[in-house]
Amino acid sequence: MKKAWKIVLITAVCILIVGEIALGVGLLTGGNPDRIWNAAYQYYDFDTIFNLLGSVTDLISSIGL
Amino acid sequence: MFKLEVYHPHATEVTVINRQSYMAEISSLLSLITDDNTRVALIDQMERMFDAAPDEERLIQEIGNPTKVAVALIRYADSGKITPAAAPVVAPERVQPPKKAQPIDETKFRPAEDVVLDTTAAAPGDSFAPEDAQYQDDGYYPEEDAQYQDDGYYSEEDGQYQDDGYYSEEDGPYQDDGYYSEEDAQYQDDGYYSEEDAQYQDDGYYPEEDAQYQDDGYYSEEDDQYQDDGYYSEDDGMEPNPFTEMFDDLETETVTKTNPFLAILYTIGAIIVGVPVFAVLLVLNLCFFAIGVAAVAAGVGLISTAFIGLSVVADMLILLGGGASVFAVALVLLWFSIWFFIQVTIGWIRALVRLGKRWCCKEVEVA
Repeated sequence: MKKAWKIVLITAVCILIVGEIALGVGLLTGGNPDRIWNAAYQYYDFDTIFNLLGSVTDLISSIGL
Repeated sequence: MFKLEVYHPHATEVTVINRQSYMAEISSLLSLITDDNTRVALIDQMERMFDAAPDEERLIQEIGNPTKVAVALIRYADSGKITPAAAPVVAPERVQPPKKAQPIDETKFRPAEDVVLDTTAAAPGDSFAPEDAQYQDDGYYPEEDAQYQDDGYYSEEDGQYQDDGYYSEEDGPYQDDGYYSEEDAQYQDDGYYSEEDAQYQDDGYYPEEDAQYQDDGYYSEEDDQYQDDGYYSEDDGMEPNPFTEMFDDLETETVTKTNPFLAILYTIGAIIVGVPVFAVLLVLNLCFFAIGVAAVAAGVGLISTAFIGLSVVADMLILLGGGASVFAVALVLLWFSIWFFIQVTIGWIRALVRLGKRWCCKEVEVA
């Protein structure tokens, strides 16, 4: 189990480092999160998503948990 | 008068010296005698001997060199044959002038009849070789007295065995001429590996039929001869001890007996306490697992969004970076949930079972 933990942690750290590097490069080269939001998620209906989450919560509360 | 028995194999080698030199030499050598009376008595005897001798040179030749005589006198004195009480004590004021020469009895000065005049090399043991007389002990070791002069280098001339760097055939029965003689070898190596000599023929492949244990990649408990049940057994790994085998017949068998009343009581208590705890742990575990799965989904979503609907590379890099970071956190959360389930949730159940066995089961010795 200790060896498995080592492997998982090392892998996660490596992916994190790569991701942070990419994030930093993107921000430094003129990336804008607002532009990303408008371009990528304009097609998502957040009202429907929130309604879905609400129904799931009602279902759990009806069971009694 | 004591009988002077000395060996003088090389009487002719005694250098011609006069009485004064001879007595001076003897006196200095007799200084090794610590007892003054004995020493004076011996010197006085020698003086009287010279006085009584008609020919001093002949006497000197008869008795030999002064070192030999001194050694003989010292041994004579040490042997106890002459003691201070037996020796005439000569006080300085009573020193007599040299007496006139008197006819002497040559038998007193000649070596004893049983003395062997060995003209050959000095006899071993107590014999005193003339070469030894050249050694004068003045407290220092004069290098010129040494027959072997140590110049700091090992001279081949000093050694009986001369090592010329080569193994001489004369030195040993085994003659090593530097070449390996095939006649000496029982196994003749012709340089080629004979397959007939090999009992195991290695064709480069590992035949599976040779393997007694086939590893299918999965850990099977049946493969283990020793199964770790979590309890330390004294019988594990111990070699049979002949001493303890004597007591094998005396050992009693142990049987595990379960107390049913305690077992029922414990089961009820375990259900009451254990099940809620198990439920809480399970919910926690599911929460961690859900968060991990959600993080994985978010990361995958961010990464996939980077390639859909974005035209600016910088924005793509931001999404890719963000997605990778979220994916890394998700990986850790997922693994933590798995670990939590195995170690904590399942471990709680195992702990309950172990505790129940310890409380409810007893090992009873049966004769």
